[in-house]
Amino acid sequence: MRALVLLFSAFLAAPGSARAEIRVAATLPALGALAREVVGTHGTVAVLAPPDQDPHFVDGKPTLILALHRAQLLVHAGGDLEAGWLPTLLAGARNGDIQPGQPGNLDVSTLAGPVLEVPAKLDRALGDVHPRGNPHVWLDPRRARRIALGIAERVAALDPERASAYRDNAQRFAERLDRKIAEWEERMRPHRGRGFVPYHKSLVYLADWLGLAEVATVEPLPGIAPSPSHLASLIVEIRKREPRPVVIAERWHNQRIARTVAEKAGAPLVVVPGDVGATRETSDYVAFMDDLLRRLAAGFESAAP
Amino acid sequence: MRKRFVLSLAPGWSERARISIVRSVVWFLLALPLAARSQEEAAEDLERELEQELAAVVRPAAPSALLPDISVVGTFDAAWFSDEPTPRLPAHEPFHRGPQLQELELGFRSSVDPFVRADVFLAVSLEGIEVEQAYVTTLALPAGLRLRVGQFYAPFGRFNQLHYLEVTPFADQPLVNRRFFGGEQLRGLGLEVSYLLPLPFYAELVGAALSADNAVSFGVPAVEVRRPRDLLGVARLATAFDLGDRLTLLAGASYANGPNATGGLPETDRNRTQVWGADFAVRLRDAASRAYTALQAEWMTRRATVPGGGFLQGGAYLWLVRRFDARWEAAIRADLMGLPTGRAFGDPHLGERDDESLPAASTHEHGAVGEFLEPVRQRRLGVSVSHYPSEFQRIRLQANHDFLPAEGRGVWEAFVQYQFVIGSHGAHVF
Repeated sequence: MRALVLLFSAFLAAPGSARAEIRVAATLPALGALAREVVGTHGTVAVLAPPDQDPHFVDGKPTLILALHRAQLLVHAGGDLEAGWLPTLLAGARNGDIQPGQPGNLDVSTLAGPVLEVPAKLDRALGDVHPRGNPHVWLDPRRARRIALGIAERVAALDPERASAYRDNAQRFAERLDRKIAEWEERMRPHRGRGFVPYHKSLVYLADWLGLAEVATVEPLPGIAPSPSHLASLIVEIRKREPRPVVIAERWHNQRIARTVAEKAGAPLVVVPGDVGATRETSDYVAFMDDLLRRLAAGFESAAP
Repeated sequence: MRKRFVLSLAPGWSERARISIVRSVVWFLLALPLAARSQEEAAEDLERELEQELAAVVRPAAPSALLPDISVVGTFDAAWFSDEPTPRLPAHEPFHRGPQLQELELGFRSSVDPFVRADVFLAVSLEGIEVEQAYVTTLALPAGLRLRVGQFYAPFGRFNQLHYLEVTPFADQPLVNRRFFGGEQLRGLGLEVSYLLPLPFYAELVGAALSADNAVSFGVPAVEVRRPRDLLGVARLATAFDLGDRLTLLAGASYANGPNATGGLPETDRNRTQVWGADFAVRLRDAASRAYTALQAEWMTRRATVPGGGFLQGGAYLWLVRRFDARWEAAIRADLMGLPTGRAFGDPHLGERDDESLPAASTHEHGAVGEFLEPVRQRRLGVSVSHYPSEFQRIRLQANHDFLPAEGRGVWEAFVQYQFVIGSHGAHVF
């Protein structure tokens, strides 16, 4: 009984100890990883989506409400990427600080530079389009850098006592990222202009950074399952090109379809293992990008003429 | 011909010079389209570049910020019954042979201001338009509190709180929900307070006071509320646990207490209904996939006192869903009314009384103990298969065998259901 009382009072006390640490909640593992670089040891970062699930289709489990209830800052991709699950959780969070429009609500699509693929026309005949443009911004490290610096500014505003610590962390991360960006660009330079066929339009920012050319997508339109006739014309399209474009599928897409397209078209298949933390080697953002680019480079090299 | 023309152009020049000038002119003319083409390409490149640069600023397709998110969900079915369907209230379930508009739901969702958001759902059917739900929810109350005000589904159990046509794997309701709460589910006008308990795991305590105008279990003979006892009270405790990233357990207990419409005007003190409920759900999501397996079960028991006596009745359902991928889903459901077996106590005699003083224009048969309040034994087994061509369309086939042991009759039922969603897509309740 006494243990129970202790336990109970410990949790009653938890909000009181808020001064000690800043509490950040991030919707996606990559955003969580960037927030972690900024917050460092001065706070906690809770991530809502598991690293191996499609960020469009995360389960809005009531258990996630707890993290949102406690958070002082919510970092989300925005651009309606999380529209299928975040609003219900936000309404359940009973936390005015992180509601849209509040300082505790950070939409990273506002930080990451120009948004690509803003549809000129909104029509679901074009598939499950994102009205505010393509929201998959974090795979371009130059944008990730801007996001990290943006998170630092926001956290600094929310916790001014440690503002300089957050800014220092972000600056250190940005410098580390600059060195890595140079290294990554060097590694990927031979593959500039190469074609690729992603399953979903989730790699446009990566392509924008590395100068890759999206030849087509495995799904005919965003969120629409490919028909055999679409796949056939896709395979013919890939076969026409030398060197062969690389087929890229994230782990949550239909692997059988991705594999079939790659095999029939004689193109290499690169599987993106998910988000940060999906494998043991990808525990932070830099490690994740290292792993991703290694896979990508291997794919391009295996299809070299 | 060419030479003569050129010669006549510049009579003072040597022929050699003239010819070389003509050559250059011809080359220039030949090269013009090429140059124009590369200029065109450059313009296109520039246009693309500008589009990208300006994309963040110029957002031609951004929806108007001040309109609420609007959606329309249309649900149609075609039904076949081997015999007369077992009792049901004509609302949104298939209830006769042939095609039927189950519902056209118009949804409007928006923040009202920084403090509350509003959700309005209107159901349009061939009979007219009805307010299905319309409520505001607070967003920023302190101490883990949240208020809801308006008309909404009562926080009882799991199924009752859902817009079931959209988010459950069957085209109709579980028997126990139909028998206890009728075609429009348990809902009312009122106030709800919910409290997120300060515990290390998710636990929520909910209480609501609503108008008692349910078609089956709760009702007052007059719209005037004279004292708190004329209202329907609902309480619920819900909790959820994650076991890893993929497995989630949910459990809840609910209680409702309110007057029922038997016995006429002066009788609401003695004629009351209580419903107890327990629910359990478990969902296992496949790794790196849209696929999941979910099991959901609910049990309810109802005690209704009516003049001269009362009834006790229990019922339960259990369903198992397998979502194979983004496109296909299959489900099986078992229903059982009579858990515990319904029984009457005392000598409930109402229903024979002919009371002409009661208001006629009412959804209830005031004073009568309807067939939905009387205990019944009923069993049903259903299977369904659903196909989603995209996130915004669904085609469903369902077959039930519905059996009333007391009458010794079973009814085969088959439904084909079609649903589309247009407009902004609302977030799904887990």
